[in-house]
Amino acid sequence: MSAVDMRVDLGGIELKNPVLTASGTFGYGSEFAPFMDLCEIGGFVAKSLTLEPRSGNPPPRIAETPSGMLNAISIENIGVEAFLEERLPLLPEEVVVIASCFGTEVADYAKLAARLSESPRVAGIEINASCPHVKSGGIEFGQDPGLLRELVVAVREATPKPLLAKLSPNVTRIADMARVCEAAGADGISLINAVQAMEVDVETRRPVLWNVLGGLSGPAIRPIALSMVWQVARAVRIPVCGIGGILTPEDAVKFLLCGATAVQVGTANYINPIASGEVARGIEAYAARHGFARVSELIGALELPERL
Amino acid sequence: MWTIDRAREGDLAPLARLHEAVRPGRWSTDALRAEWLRSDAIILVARGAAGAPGVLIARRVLDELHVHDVAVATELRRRGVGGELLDALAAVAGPPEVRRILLELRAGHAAALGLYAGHGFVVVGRRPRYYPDGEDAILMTRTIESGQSGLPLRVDVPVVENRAEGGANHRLVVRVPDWPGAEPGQFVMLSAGARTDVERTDPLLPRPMAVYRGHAKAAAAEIEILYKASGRGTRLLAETLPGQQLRMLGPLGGAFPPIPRAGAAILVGGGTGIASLYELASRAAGAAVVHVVLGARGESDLMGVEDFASLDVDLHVATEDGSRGQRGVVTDVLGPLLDRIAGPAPTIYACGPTPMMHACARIAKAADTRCVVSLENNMACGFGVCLGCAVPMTAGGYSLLCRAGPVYDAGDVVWERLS
Ligand SMILES: Cc1cc2nc3c(=O)[nH]c(=O)nc-3n(C[C@H](O)[C@H](O)[C@H](O)COP(=O)(O)OP(=O)(O)OC[C@H]3O[C@@H](n4cnc5c(N)ncnc54)[C@H](O)[C@@H]3O)c2cc1C
Ligand SMILES: Cc1cc2nc3c(=O)[nH]c(=O)nc-3n(C[C@H](O)[C@H](O)[C@H](O)COP(=O)(O)O)c2cc1C
Ligand code: FES
Repeated sequence: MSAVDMRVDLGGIELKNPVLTASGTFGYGSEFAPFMDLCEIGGFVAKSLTLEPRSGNPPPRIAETPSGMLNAISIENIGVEAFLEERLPLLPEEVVVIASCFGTEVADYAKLAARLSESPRVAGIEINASCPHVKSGGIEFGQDPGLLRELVVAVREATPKPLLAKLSPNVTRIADMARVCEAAGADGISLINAVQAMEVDVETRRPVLWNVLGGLSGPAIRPIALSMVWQVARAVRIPVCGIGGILTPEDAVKFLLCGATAVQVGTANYINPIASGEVARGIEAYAARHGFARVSELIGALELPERL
Repeated sequence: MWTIDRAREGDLAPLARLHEAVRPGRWSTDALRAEWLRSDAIILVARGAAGAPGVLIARRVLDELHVHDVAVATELRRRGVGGELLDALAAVAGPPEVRRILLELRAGHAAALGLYAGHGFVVVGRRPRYYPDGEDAILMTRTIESGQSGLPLRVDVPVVENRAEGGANHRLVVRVPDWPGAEPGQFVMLSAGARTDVERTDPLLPRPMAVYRGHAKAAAAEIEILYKASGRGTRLLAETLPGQQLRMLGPLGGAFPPIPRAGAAILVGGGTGIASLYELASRAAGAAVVHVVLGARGESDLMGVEDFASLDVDLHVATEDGSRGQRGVVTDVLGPLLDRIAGPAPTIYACGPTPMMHACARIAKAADTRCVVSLENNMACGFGVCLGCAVPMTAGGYSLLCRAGPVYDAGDVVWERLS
């Protein structure tokens, strides 16, 4: 038996531990079954879904960058119906599944959320208002407070499930965006999505990605993510889910200390398919080592200089 | 419960009745008997207490199995009969003879798509308006893996040997516990450099590397990899010392179709692509006529050439600087070689830089022969979750190189959109 109580409540989603995996980095879950016990982690956020199946960009879709990677996949996914009928049944009952919605219109998001909410297997909904490289949809909503409010209100009306809004870091004041979501009825804030970025090949004088622009993820963005989580956690009352560059348990603990109730492991899943389980076990070991009986005591436990 | 077995003559009438109940008009007892008599047909039946709850009909075409029909009694749907039939098919006709199972289904048939996806099938293409009523067909394949589990390992493996071999080429040997074995063409993802106490963040992504030698399943296997230290990751790999650990994920991807015994094949390898072809050549050497054409910039860049030279194969070498073999590129050798071979042109297996493979594909097309290629693409995960390795397909859509590839029929790939 574990000495540390690892349970947390993420806006009404009860998690056995604070480690989730990030949308787009964990497939539909069952892909990881050959490597790990899916029940080891708090849960996972499935790849963002659209109403219809959606194909992605031509190659190159990804590229390595210093301590990170760029991607411009363009929300390729099997569509909501295939997810519900074919993928969800493959997962053990115990696994907490959060579904991520993506669309080009507010109405798409609402329809998706409503359809997903019909499934008892879906524990919560995450709104992807932040994909950095799709021309219409996603970040369009995440960068405009008015649109963001409209989007969250519409999805809120469409689902009784716990609702997370996933924010883009590509905004001037992240705390303002989080407040908008809170006021519009979100139960929690996930941040950050990938940071808009690009890379160039000087030999060919071409952008390395077919799409030119992509999203930067991995350890390169972790300090940015940490600062944004810290700002948002101080600005809203609803729980925050920290995302960005988490590879190790220590990385995850930093997010908890800065005020995150839970974290999502992203790019690390590619490099080490059992990373999320290792992070969960490592947080527990950290808490035990530092004498915390409950992992929730770590949330926001950052020791600040007195002048703050 | 039920057991699965090849159909016997006495099963045919009940199976026809089962079919009639599920998909009327498709198979009469006579049609089923005619199919059953064919030497290339495989009919599997699930037998239960109350008769036959399921049937699968497939045919062998070269190294592939084409599934023509899977029917499960209505009252036993969603109980796993269909999946077990598919798994049994993979088991009755496993490698080395059969490498892939292929099937097509109606695009709107979501439940069936889920069944197949759950049993290792991946979507590789779509045929618009394939069915008489205008519905699209979805093409799916499953690679039949060797070894019992077929599941990839994720392990930290100690380096046994890592030495420079001329040019920037290196030979790496790692010791892998509980290695499930690999097929020619399969690859592993290797950490870019040795494991360190502090998690390395740069370079971040693992590198795909073909398994060069060490394909046998073993409790403690020594896997050999040939690589070129070119970029940041492979240069760090070159600094790794014996005793240090690398992280490995694999084996991944599918295999080359085998070279038939007493058949013939031409293997064309360029640069690091040579590494993918050695096991294929070595398995067929002596049993089939194997022509091998290897090319690189200069003699010292020719990966593994001495290993190929010691096999019973017809070896040709081309170097751009003329330091060994013919001066020029592999395709300068391939054309004349094809001209010299009497009779139908053998299948061409190509692995190397994309323009080289594309050129081989064009030559094969002109010679009216099959060309299979092992493609390269940027990869982050290697096991089908980042969606980064997409290959554009002539049938429409994309195929994930790490799952459905890296081996493709040259004609299935949209070369112009590969980059
Ligand atoms: C299925 C497969 C099998 C391979 N087998 C071998 C082998 O046996 N021996 C060998 O030497 N090489 C092999 N390669 C190519 C090898 O993966 C690249 O040469 C290597 O990734 C380059 O890494 P780097 O650190 O030198 O380059 P960097 O420039 O540092 O690489 C930057 C990024 O681009 C990717 N990249 C660069 N070149 C390639 C390439 N040609 N193919 C795929 N990704 C690339 C890297 O993986 C990395 O993510 C194989 C590639 C694939 C797809
Ligand atoms: C290849 C790739 C695909 C992604 N797809 C999605 C997606 O579909 N929906 C989404 O909300 N975020 C997506 N993300 C963003 C991640 O969920 C995460 O927010 C981001 O990568 C930062 O975390 P990390 O640094 O731990 O990866 C994707 C990221 C990557 C690298
Ligand atoms: S490399 Fe990630 S899906 Fe193929």
